[in-house]
Amino acid sequence: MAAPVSELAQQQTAKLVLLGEMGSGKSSLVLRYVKGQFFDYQASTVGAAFLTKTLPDLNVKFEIWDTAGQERYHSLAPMYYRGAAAAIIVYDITSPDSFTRAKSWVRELQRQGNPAMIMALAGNKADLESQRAVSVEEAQAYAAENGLYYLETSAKTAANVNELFEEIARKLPKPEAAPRQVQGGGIVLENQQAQDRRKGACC
Amino acid sequence: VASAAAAATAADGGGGDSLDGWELVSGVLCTTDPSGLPGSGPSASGTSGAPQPEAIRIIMEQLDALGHLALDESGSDPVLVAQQAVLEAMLQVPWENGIGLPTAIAPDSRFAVLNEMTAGQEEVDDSILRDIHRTFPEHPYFGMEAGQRSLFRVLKAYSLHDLEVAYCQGMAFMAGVLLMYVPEETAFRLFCRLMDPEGPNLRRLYLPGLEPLKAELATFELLLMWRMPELAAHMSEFGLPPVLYVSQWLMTLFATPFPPAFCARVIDVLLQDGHDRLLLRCSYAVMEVLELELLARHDFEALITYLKMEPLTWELSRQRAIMERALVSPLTDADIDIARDTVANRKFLAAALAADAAANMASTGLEGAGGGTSAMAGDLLGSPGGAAVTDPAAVMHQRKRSLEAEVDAALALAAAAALTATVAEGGAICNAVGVEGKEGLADFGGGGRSNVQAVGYDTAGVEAAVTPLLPNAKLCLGRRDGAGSKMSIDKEGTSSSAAAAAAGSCGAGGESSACSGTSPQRQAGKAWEPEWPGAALHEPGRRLTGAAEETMGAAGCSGAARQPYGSEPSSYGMSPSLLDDLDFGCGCGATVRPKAMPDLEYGEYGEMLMDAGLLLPEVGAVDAADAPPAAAAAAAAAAAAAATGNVGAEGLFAPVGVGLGAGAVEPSRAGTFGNPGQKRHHPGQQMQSGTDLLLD
Repeated sequence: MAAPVSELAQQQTAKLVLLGEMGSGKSSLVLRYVKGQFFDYQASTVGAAFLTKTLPDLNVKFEIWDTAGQERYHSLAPMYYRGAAAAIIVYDITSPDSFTRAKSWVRELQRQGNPAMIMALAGNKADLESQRAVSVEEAQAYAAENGLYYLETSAKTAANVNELFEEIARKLPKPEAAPRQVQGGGIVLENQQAQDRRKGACC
Repeated sequence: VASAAAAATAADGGGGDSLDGWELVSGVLCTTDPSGLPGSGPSASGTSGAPQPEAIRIIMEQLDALGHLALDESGSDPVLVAQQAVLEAMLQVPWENGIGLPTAIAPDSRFAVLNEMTAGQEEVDDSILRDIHRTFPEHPYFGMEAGQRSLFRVLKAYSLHDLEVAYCQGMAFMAGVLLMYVPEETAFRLFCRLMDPEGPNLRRLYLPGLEPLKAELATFELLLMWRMPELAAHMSEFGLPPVLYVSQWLMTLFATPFPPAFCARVIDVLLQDGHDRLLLRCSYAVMEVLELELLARHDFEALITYLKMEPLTWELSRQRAIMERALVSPLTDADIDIARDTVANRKFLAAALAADAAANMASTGLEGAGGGTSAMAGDLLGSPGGAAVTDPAAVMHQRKRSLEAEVDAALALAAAAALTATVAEGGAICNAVGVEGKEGLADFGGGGRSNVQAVGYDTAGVEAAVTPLLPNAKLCLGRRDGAGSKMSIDKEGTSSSAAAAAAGSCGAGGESSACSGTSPQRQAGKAWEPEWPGAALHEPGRRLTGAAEETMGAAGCSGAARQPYGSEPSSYGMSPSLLDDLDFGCGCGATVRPKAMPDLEYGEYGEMLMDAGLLLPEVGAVDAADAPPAAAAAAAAAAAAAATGNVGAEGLFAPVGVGLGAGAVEPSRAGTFGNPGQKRHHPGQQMQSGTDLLLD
């Protein structure tokens, strides 16, 4: 309500959530994408972190929820992925365990998430090629099987990071390009979001 | 720089308590210094004994320098002022200079021994290793290998000290703050002390499943709604339940996104208080100071960003002010306990509601609302019969309506249980209400057979029985019906789990097996011979003896009685097992709501809470295998709701009388709930300035 109606009316706000094993680089990916920064030691995420990024070209604003990775936090996750338009499931290419965990996240989202949710699988730490433990082929096959958008990324070198997020933005279902209404499209959008939230709730 | 250990020591000493805490932590190796003076407290090398003269000298000097204490300020408590002065003096004791804590680790210490263990630890070690580089990475100490190694050792030792909790993200920050102030073995001990079930019991926040954490978040939300309704509504309007921000506060002990010094203050007070209510008070104080700023923000992003960024900027004076607020928090012990009870009851109720729904689903359209409720039940229970989830919106609507009735229903249940409890003659049955501990249990069954007329709470019978004593109960019952979760019965007594649930929720099918929280109550249906409305017979002995302890949680007992770690009555319902999640603290606080308690309106983010399992817990996600405990809950609800004919005592629900003393049983804590204002305890009044120890 504080923001000008016109802006909201044109911009699509999309909730995006990152899930994946602890230490797989979720926060680093987000930080690289949103702020262009990278730290070798990015502070562990406890609970969840929230950041936004606007893509003016695509008229999309991402509301990014970066979640804690430890298995123990699993039961908090639904709150973060509820109503998300997109999810990035991150694994560490040097860790088969993290890939297994990624698969279980995919399963969970397929079962409980918003059916229209766009899911991307990101094999992070691609710069650590020498330590690779999950092959591109394996991940690619899995992604294809499950209809996931797949990329290997490196938050450290920034490889494919923008591509990942931008592709997701492009894949987002476009809201009806309805002309602005008197009441303000922002409200319409919000309702849409709220509905999404509800849809995600049936678990 | 004073240390957290100094604070703990000073606080214990100053408060007149002994330092026995050290022995609680790990009796074998922790020495106890009765003098409680800094520098001589938690001595790892076992050399403590005589107070350190240097420390005393410094303290005396400081006190001398103060001259006489400023007692003239308006209404200052002289004791507080004196304590403050002493603590300020203690602050001046430099730890590092010769009288500090030993940095060497005795090779035979528990800390050292735990650190040598490796077998079976690989996974936990790995988790810890992944976090030690990422805990205060900008801090000079933790940027170095030495600091990271200390952190690892503290966490690893703890993970072996407490195998159930092991390691959970968030703990590293707490340990990190400790290590900023004290050497690692001391840090380990303080860490243990903070986690200790006999003390602040922070470990429960990290337990697998995080149920206690969620309950704490729900409690906080409740308190917020109660005490700061405007802010609560505002946060709710913009989709910000506490789980989005408070979870981080709690799990890092305010180390993020607050300055570490603030965490140190929190640690001080926790060590001094020996219980964990400070966490809620502190969270509340933060919201208090941010209230105006938050109310001025009108979109989700602005709010969450502010909440996540603002605290980091707090200067020491601000931190101090906030902690002072927390120490004189308007949230009394009773307030907090009541909120916790309510949350516990709500979880219980949610399970019962799910069972209701299952019942409706199983029975062939007894109710008009059957269709919608079936969907709800299917959704909640994930049971085979529940495949018919069609319209999520309808499901949500159902859920909301159920939730609206929830608290009132809890009241009704508790009221009914209270009635039951008074019918003590001939052997009490589910009158565990208000009973604590094993001596209470011993009274169960009592040899006498007595009949529990297991009436559903919507039957005329209960209503009639309840009404004379509890005008409110009628209302509650009525509303419960209105909410569309009317009981139904499976007249056939079939043995499907849904039917078992139905049996439970109808009050008749409680049956002993249902209370065990394990599979047997799938058979409850057959044991149940309903004589609707109202008279299924029932053997009390079977219900509450035998697996009595196990049963208590489900039998409508005070949750406190089943607290696995026993020491802190207020934090019950925080144990990990599913059965405990079903604890129903009827007879405790929730039965007598403080008059200011608003009706709970969950609105939008009720849904989010539900996702978190806060409102409609596990049942939302249970597989068929998990359904039984839900049914057990229902059975317990039924037991609670069951009322026998001869209701005796008048004034049963008089505010202080909720103890429902079944004869010899002490009403124990129940009395404190009756009158929330009666027992105001503010930790800060004892030692308000404990927090200031870590300044500078």
